[in-house]
Amino acid sequence: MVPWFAVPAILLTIGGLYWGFFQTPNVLSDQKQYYRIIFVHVPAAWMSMWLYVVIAGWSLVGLVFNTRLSFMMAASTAPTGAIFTFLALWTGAFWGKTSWGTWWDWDPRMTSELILLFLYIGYMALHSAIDDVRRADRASAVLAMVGLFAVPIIYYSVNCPDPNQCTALHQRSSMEYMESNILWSMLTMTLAFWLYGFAVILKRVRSIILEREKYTEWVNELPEIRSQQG
Amino acid sequence: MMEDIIAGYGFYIGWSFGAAAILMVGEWLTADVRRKAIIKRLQRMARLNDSRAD
Repeated sequence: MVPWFAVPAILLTIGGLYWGFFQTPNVLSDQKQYYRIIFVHVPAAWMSMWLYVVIAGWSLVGLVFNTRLSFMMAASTAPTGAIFTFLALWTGAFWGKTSWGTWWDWDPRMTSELILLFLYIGYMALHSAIDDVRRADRASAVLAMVGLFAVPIIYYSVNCPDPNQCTALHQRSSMEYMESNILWSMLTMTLAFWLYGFAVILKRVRSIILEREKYTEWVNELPEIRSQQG
Repeated sequence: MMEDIIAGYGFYIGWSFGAAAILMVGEWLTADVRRKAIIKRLQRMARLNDSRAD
C-alpha cells in the first residue's frame, strides 16, 4: 500500500509547488514573496497537531483493547509527527524573521508548538528507554494521552478576546479572506503531506512488525525472507 | 517571477523548502534502510535455523 500513498504525495507536491510559486499573487496582504513559506509552514503545523491526535487515539485503543498493532502504529507515527513539528518551528522562524523581524518570540502559539515537539521527543525517548516492549508501549501511551492537552492549546492560542489588547505575533486569521489560488495550493500541499505521512508511517510500521514478530513462524516463512536463502 | 523571489527572499524560502525536502527524503531513506537491515538480519536467522535443523 505504500506506493498508493507515496506516488500521489509526490505528484501533489509537484503540483502544489507549481501552483504556489507560479499561479499565485506576489503579495499576501502586507507580505511580499516570502509569504510563500505558508505552503510548507501551515501544512507542517497542521500535520504536527493531527499526528499527535492520531498517536493519542492509537494509544487509547491499545490501552483499552490491549491490541499490539495499535501501539505499533502509535510508535511508528511519532517520528513523522516530530519531524513535522520541527519543520513547523523551523519554517516559522524563517517566516518570522522576514515578516516580524525576529527568529523567535515566546508567543503562545510558538511556545505551545515547542512544547508539542518536547512531547514527541519525550514519547520516543520513553518508548526506547524501557527494554520490555509491552511496558514501553503502555507507559508511552499514557504519556501520549496526558500530552494531548497541548493540541487544543496550540489550536486556540490565537483566539485572543480583543486583538487590540494582544501583543502575540500570531493573530487569528480566516481562510475565507485568503486569495483562492493561495488557499488551494496550501490545501494541496496539506494533502500531499498527509499522503506522505501515511506512506512513511506504513513503511515504518512494517519494520516494527517484523522486528517484534521475528521469532514467529509466519515471519520466518515470508517470501522476502525465504527468497534470498539460496 | 522566479528571479524576483530568489533575488528578494531566496535565503528564507530556500531554507524553508530545502529543510522540508531534506527532512522528508531523509526520513523516507532511513525507514528504507531500517527495513532492509531487518530483512537481512531475519534472512541470516532463518539460514542459521535451517542449518541447525539439517
